[in-house]
Amino acid sequence: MSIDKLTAKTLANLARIKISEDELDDVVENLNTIILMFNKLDEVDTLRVEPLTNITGNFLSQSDDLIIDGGYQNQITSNAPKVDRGFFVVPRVID
Amino acid sequence: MNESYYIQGKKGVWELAIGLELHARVISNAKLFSGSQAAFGGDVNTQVSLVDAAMPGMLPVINRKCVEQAVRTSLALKAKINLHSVFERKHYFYADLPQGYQITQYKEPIASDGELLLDLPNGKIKSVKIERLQLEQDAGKLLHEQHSHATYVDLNRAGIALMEIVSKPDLSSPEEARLYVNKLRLIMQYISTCDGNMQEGSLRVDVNVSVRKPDEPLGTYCEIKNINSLRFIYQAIEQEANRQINILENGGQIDKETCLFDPIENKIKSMRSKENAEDYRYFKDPDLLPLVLDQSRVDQLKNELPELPDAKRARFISAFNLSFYDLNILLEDRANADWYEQLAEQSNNPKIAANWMISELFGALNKAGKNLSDSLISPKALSELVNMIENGHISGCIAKTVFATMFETGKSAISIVKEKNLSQTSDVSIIEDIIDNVLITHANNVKKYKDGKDKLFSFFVGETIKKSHGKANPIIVTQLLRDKLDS
Amino acid sequence: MNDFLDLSLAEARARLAARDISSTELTKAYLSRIEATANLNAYITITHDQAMLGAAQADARLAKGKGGILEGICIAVKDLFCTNGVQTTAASRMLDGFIPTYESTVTSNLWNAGAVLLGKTNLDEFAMGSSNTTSYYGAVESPWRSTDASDKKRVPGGSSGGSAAAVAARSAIAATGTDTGGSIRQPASFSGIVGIKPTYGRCSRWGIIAFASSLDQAGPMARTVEDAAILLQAMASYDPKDSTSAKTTMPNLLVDINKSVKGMSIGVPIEYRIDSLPEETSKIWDHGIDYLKSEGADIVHISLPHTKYALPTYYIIAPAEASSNLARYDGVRYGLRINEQNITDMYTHTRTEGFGEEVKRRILLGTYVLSSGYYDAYYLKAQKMRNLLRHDFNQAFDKVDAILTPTTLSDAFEIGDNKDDPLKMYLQDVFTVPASLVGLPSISVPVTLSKRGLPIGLQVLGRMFDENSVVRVGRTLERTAEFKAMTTLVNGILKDE
Repeated sequence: MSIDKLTAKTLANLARIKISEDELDDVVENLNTIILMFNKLDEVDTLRVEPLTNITGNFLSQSDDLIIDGGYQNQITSNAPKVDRGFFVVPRVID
Repeated sequence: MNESYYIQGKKGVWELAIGLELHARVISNAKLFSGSQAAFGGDVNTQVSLVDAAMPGMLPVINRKCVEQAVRTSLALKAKINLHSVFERKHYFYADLPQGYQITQYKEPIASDGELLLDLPNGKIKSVKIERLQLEQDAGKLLHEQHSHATYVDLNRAGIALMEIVSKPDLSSPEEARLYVNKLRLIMQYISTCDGNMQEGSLRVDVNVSVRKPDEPLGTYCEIKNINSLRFIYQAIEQEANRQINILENGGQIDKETCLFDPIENKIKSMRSKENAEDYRYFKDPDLLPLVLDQSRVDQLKNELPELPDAKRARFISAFNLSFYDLNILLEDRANADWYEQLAEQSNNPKIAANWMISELFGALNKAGKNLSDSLISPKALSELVNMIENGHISGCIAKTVFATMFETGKSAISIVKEKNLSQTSDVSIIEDIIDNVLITHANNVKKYKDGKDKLFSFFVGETIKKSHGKANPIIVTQLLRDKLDS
Repeated sequence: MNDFLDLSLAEARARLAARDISSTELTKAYLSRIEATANLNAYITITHDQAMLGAAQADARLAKGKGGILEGICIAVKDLFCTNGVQTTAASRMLDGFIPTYESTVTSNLWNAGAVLLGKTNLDEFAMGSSNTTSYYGAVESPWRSTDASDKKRVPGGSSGGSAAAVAARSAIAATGTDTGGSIRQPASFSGIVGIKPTYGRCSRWGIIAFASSLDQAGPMARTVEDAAILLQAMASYDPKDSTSAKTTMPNLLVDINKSVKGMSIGVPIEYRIDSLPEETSKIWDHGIDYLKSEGADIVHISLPHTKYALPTYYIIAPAEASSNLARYDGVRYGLRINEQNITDMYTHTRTEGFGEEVKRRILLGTYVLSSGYYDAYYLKAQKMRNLLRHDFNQAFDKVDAILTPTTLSDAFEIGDNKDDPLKMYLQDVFTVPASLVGLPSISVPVTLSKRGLPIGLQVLGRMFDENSVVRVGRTLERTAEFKAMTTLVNGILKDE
């Protein structure tokens, strides 16, 4: 498999990244070089292999239902590009 | 309502298939994956932890209470608890979604295959299958009113636990959808897993609607998102069904899309068109290990569940002989049912007591704009009033006066009756004196009655009771009047 | 002054405890060394005042005979660990100026043990790279120069290149690194120092800026195996704030560190002898085998049949997780924002300007392998491969106690090499990614200089949670190889003085 320019643009859009027209050829070519390497995995029959998503072999620890965090609006907003009266301010979102 | 609900189009009748996805905010102290406060109402961004704000390097840790609330809800819906479930990330960019993904469940939810029974007005019971129940994070809140060209973001709500409860498309009318939401809300209120408040957004509903000709396979559905009142569910389904029928009857086809219901215009609006279809790129959250539950703990939670609405309904029917109408009102809310149960326990006639609670107490509360929890009358106090009528201490008419005072002051019926000297009298000599007076005063009417104007009998009864200031026992009044007039 | 800089962490610790030297003296020496080696660009932020204050406090505790296991030891921290009140950037424009209000668990552990922070070291942006050339703050230069082309600047390796360069150039006694596919071990090998990637779950990930959550592990970078072991001991802990943190208690690594490898079985995987392995590296590996054999270890030739699939597997999984982990950088709550009229443009411009080329490439790759229609072919397939790789190792560890491999294909390349060929750059990780995918502990130990006079290391892999064996075999290699080479720059500066 490989990707074309349109797919690259769709991916970029999903990731909220812009690829300019003059970069596009290079980006697609680079991605396809890497994707070509991925295709090597086709050699292996994995039909009956379970995916490994949890290398620790452990299960989730659950915490007690205690309010032990929060209450520090200043810390939450101290690095924000734009704040007004404790709110994060962003360009208008239209639903 | 008919057995089946149809919409009459220009070219025949159409059936509806409706599936509902409810987002129910879990009752817990802390959020699903952080230790900040879940119940909101605090100042902007004060109920936000570093995890909720998705600061770099922050990691989620799951709250046991939220897990158990989901398990309890699933058990109440007779669902299969999946002892092994998995959290996944659902990706999209939105200003109220700090991580850039929502942690939710997808392929392996915490519960599946549940059932909800609807009590239809025709007395029948309909089973609605529940496909899945999953735990997920709520998003923050966007405010658009603060500024003309900016949006303000408050993350207090971000990360609160939600249960998404998905039904099969088993519902066939707006009324069934309404009953379904009501019943699910009731169950969650009974077991205290969600307060069910739709105005405050504790319960949000997405509706999937499709239409088809009778006996044809299911059509393509459209999803209407985030409906926040029962009335709007009703309207949105009707609007959407009509929209689809209109398209189909004009030779068009339905595109699977996501819409919003605009209650002001009473219109369905498309949210995302096909070409902008989101690709959520689900994958198992590598920050979270599989959630594994212990069967013995699940059993324990099951044993600890309180009596659920269906069981309570069955018991109320057999113990109190209530009407369908009474049952629906009393079971509508756990508080109602609990209140009634206390009332019934102490009442000689629970059925009469139910009438008093529903017509008098609810009527008065409604008029005063109050809730049951605001009532100055306790179940015990109302039972005393009802028992006084039953025992013949006061008349029903007097009881209403007494009730009004009880409602205003919270005083007991006995003290009001004593204070105002309202005890019913059955003393024949006193009543006879009053009757004699009435018959003398209205000698003309006595003559007319004796000439055959039978209707006047109730006039004499009324006058006598009036002259007794309502205290005369109406049975004795009637008896004596018959003796005097008909002999 | 240079006496201080020559002390190993273990030696400095002993002399501090004996009140022979003070933390203030030691810290001062390192701070001036940082200044003298500023051209390497190893640090993004130097915490001069904080270091001097920390040193004074450590001295006060030492004077009372108190103090933790790192009391007064001044170290550098990779700028991927969030440090309270100190700028933390991940070497990205996206986080330029970001000042956390919280401290990562690993660094908290270090400060609780008495360590002193010298500064935050440079890295590949968001830890993505093998050369430390993708940093927004500029490339890091290795203190090593080859004998054949001494005018050419070499990479220190990556992504923990700043930490590696600092330790090699003696501008830190030791440093923390993070390793996702080799980011501790590869720069350790290139820079002639020791680096350990512990078992996945040993060190809490809380407060470390995430790259690929199922692979990221913090670890120590130091001049000796013993130093690395001491640092790791202080870094590791079970952390309830990290759901993937291991509850298994870390044994005292120093107890068996000098124990002989006699009787241990050491596996040598045939599949690592790949076509592209230069003969020189192959020979160095053979020397390593001989060293261990001469120390009494049984050398067992083993097979890890799926090794050649590890690299594609890694380059599917790591970018997939990265594309997700980096979704939070949207210009709303912290970091860079490029102002725009509408929010979608704001996101797009912020992310386009805020991320560098390599980061964006990996985000696109990750988005691709997770997107609908491709998930099964790539991401799911890679997860299955991960299982096969684990199976390979499980089989091997039935027979052997540790595995010896090269860490890198060769010695360090020049800054600018492989720049336009991402695939060639990715190939750098070929020996390090298998342990990452399976979560195994591994160490890189410098053993010799190449013909060009640049260091090369060997890698030892152990069973899950068996850092003990890893350290023991690593120490044996260190002892037998007698790697004593100093960086050429160190010598250069000595000459200048």
